[in-house]
Amino acid sequence: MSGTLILFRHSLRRHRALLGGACALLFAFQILLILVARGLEETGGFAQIDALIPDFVKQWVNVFTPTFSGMVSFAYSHPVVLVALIAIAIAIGTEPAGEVESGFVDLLMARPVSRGSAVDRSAGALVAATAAAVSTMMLGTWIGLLLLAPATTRGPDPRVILSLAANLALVVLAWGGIALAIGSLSRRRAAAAGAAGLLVLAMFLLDLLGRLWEPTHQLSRLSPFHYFSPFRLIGGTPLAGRDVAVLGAIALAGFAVARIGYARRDL
Amino acid sequence: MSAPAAGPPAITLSRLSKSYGRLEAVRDVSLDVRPGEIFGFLGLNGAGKTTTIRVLLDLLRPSAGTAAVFGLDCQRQSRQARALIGYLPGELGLYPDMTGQDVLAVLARLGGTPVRSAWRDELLERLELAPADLGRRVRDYSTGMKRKLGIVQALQADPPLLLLDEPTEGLDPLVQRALNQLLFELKRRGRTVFMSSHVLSEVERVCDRIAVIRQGQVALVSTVAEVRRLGGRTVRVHLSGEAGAIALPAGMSFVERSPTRWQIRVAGEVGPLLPLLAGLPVRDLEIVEPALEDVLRSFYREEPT
Repeated sequence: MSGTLILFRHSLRRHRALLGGACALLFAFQILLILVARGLEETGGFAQIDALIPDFVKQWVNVFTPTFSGMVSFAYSHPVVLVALIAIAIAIGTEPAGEVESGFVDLLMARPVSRGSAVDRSAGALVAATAAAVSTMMLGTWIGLLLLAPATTRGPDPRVILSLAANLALVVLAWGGIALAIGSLSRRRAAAAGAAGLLVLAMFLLDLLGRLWEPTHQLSRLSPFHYFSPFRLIGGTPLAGRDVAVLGAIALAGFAVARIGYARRDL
Repeated sequence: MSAPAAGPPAITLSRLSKSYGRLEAVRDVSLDVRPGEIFGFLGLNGAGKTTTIRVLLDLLRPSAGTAAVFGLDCQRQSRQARALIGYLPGELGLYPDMTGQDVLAVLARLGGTPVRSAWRDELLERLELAPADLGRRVRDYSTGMKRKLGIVQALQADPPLLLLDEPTEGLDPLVQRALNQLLFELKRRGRTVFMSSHVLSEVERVCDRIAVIRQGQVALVSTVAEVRRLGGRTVRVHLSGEAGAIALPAGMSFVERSPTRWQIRVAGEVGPLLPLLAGLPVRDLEIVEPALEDVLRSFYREEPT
């Protein structure tokens, strides 16, 4: 078995509680959201909510209108979900810094293992964790709709759910790549995670500003969140190739920086 | 696993330097360690011992010079070189939620060399690490148990070269003795041991040769026997009455001179002293071999405060 695979399995094993817990919560969240949406649908609550939403908010969220399928789809852009998935990505992406800080890297890298293996392992764990989390969400949506959707209401189009899941996974991987780059150049995990977290917050605010205030719209293109457009997708717009390309490129660039930086640094 | 058949030194350091910004941790260190010897690398804390070892493992990149293991460059042929090394870090960084068994298993798999379970069991037994302890999480281990686990992971693949950074730190005297015995056996089987330490009595017991590193530079490379000779022996002369003055030959000097007891430091043969004592009221005579610690203290003392 190659060094990367051994490290990958070790990494997943170390993060299994975090990942398992997160997947269970995300699954439960999908079911809960479908239950709430069913309740609102059955009591005519969506019409009341629609009446309460100010016009500027409707304009901001572009095409989102409160419906059963809209609410079910909204789970894929809910801030709690986004924060949870990005937090997991940061936890995994900063693993190299954690190993340097704890000194475990001395034991790992004293073996005939290439330095690239440590970064590849974390990148692999990021992809696996993101895929597992988003797949669990989709499973939750599918099972929830199958068992709990009102008989008279149509659920969201599966293509919309797939687009949302793909966009969500890509934005999480982009942040995972950034966290991996920071984590591979750091000596302390808390510092690396803190820096990545602050960057997430700053970029989220920049994107929000860009959406609300036209003069900053161009600047907001610097934020990975600019390429995460769930409301457009809920409205039926297909996932833009540009968004896929940019988020994918950010993830790959982060991975490349991590690999080069980790190979050249003192451990 | 065995070392390359031809005879390059087990370790070659050639004008090795390592700086951290302005701080020169290791300066121009050159050193050869022969296959099959136990080599002690001595120095005070911060002298550069661990930095040198970490360069050998390619954990640190040298600022200048080269390091090689059995002729393999530690940077350019790093993986091949590391395949020949078992390493015990000075500070063992273990994940507290892992069991001892997990630690040994994952590190054995990464080593790439099959671990003979009989050998590993023997190590565990000799170092008094019970199988039940291996099932416990590392967070429940005492300092000594962690050290034992560290030693087992370094030795379990039976590599041709062992780099041991302060191996007996935290071990009780019985386990220290067991480890020393183990090192002698490994040496008999042709393994090379490079151990850093600041415990001179330990080095004196097990090492064939030593190097003293001071402020990042090698201050001395020698066999333990030569170092002792450097320090000279002390001749204690107990007198039954007051004796007149004598002129000591070159290489001898008084350390203590009271009316009934003289201590004379002798560098070299004691013979030339005996005729001078012949006419004196000598009650007893002792020849004391120097302890390594006494000799090396002078090397350490030269450190500026």
